[in-house]
Amino acid sequence: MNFEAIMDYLPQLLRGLETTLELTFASLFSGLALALLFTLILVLRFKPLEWLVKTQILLFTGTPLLVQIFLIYYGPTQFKGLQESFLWPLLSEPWFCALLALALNSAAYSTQLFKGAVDAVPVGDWEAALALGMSKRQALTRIILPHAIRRALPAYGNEMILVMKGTSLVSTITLMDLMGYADRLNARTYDTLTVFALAGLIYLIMTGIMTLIIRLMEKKALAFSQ
Amino acid sequence: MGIEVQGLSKAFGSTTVLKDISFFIPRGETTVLLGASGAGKSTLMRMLNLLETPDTGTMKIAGMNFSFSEKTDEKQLNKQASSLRRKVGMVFQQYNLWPHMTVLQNLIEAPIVQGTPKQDAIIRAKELLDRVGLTDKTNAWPSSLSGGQQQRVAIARALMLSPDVLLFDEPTAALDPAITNQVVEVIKELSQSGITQVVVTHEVEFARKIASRVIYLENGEIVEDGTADHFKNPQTEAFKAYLEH
Repeated sequence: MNFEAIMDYLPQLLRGLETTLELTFASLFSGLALALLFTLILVLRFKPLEWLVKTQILLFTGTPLLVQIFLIYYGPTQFKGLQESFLWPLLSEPWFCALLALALNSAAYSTQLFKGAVDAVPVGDWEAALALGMSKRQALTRIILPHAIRRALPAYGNEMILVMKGTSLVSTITLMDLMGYADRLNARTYDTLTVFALAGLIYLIMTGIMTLIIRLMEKKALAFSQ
Repeated sequence: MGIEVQGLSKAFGSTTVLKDISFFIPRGETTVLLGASGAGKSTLMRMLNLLETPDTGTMKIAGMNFSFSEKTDEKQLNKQASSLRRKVGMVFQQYNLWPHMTVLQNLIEAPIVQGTPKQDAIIRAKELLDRVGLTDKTNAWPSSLSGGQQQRVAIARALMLSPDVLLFDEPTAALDPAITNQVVEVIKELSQSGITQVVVTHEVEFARKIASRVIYLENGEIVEDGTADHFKNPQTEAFKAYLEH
């Protein structure tokens, strides 16, 4: 490992940063939106949808993310019907498939987190809302969920970091993220230790920055309990 | 228009909690539901705003009529329950303030959900906080308040909807005795305003101070029902014994 090599590799690796960050935030955003919807469905017990959500959680928390990425990217090519459908331009796009896998994976874990947090909200919060004439749905969306999400924030912060690190798997479906560029650089230089140590360091710095941001959010969101 | 119930009964599984309860409470009275723990008084009060659904019986309260049987349609009842609860406020034993919202947010949330403009709700909230002596706590978190203060916020929150009836579940149970007198003052002041109040308690001294009527329950049945005179002249041995214990 020498300094010149590092200065040579660093700009090449950083070219992947954009894809890594884009995927992270797009997946987190869509995953969060889905998780909120799924949580509503589970808490309000919308019958047929409830089973779909439970199955989704079982499948996406019960199998490895890499398997999910492969199935979503390579799976649809096996079905002629899908190749001819309007979905094909999206499903043949690795970036979209990676987003879909990461978002669904994150949605499954986040739903479990949020549902657990909703269940842990004291029953008195519900009763007070109902006693003031709110419907169950109004109580949930206006009182219970905002309370539960604040409580779930520390755990959700971990989930955000897991998604960011999870994006490193998308290089296996041809995407050139940070890990994709590291792979390419390694294949060219065989300087394995330096290349992956550098990649690891960049991930570490991103984790550090995200942790700081999450801490700040926690401090604000949980001010009521301090 | 007061509160009139006929033949209310409720069982949880094979345990009967309330048996054939009937009473009438005239408008503007402060009625105390007295009894030992397990007598059914809290369940009875929670029926008055339909947090519990009776198995059988009829109920007239805040201008609405309800009739309960096995055929009661739960969806229909839930809809009516929401409009009933806007006229029948409730103050809980543990206050049940929403901890992640400030005092002001706790007060204005329900009116806003029901369509009151936010500015109007804030004005009313400030009036009520002034009335319960907590103007300086407008933007405080509930967890930073004492038990007595939290309870006054809970009362103000219930009053935001200008209810016809106000229910109190064991309002003094979680307070130390010195604060109890503040609750007595608030309840007395409210009774001047003509609101109908129903207070569940097992503390005789507290009951004597606030009640204009008393209903005494034992094992899910009404044993004694009448004006506050009954504290001096109990009509049944059971109530007499309860007052003396």
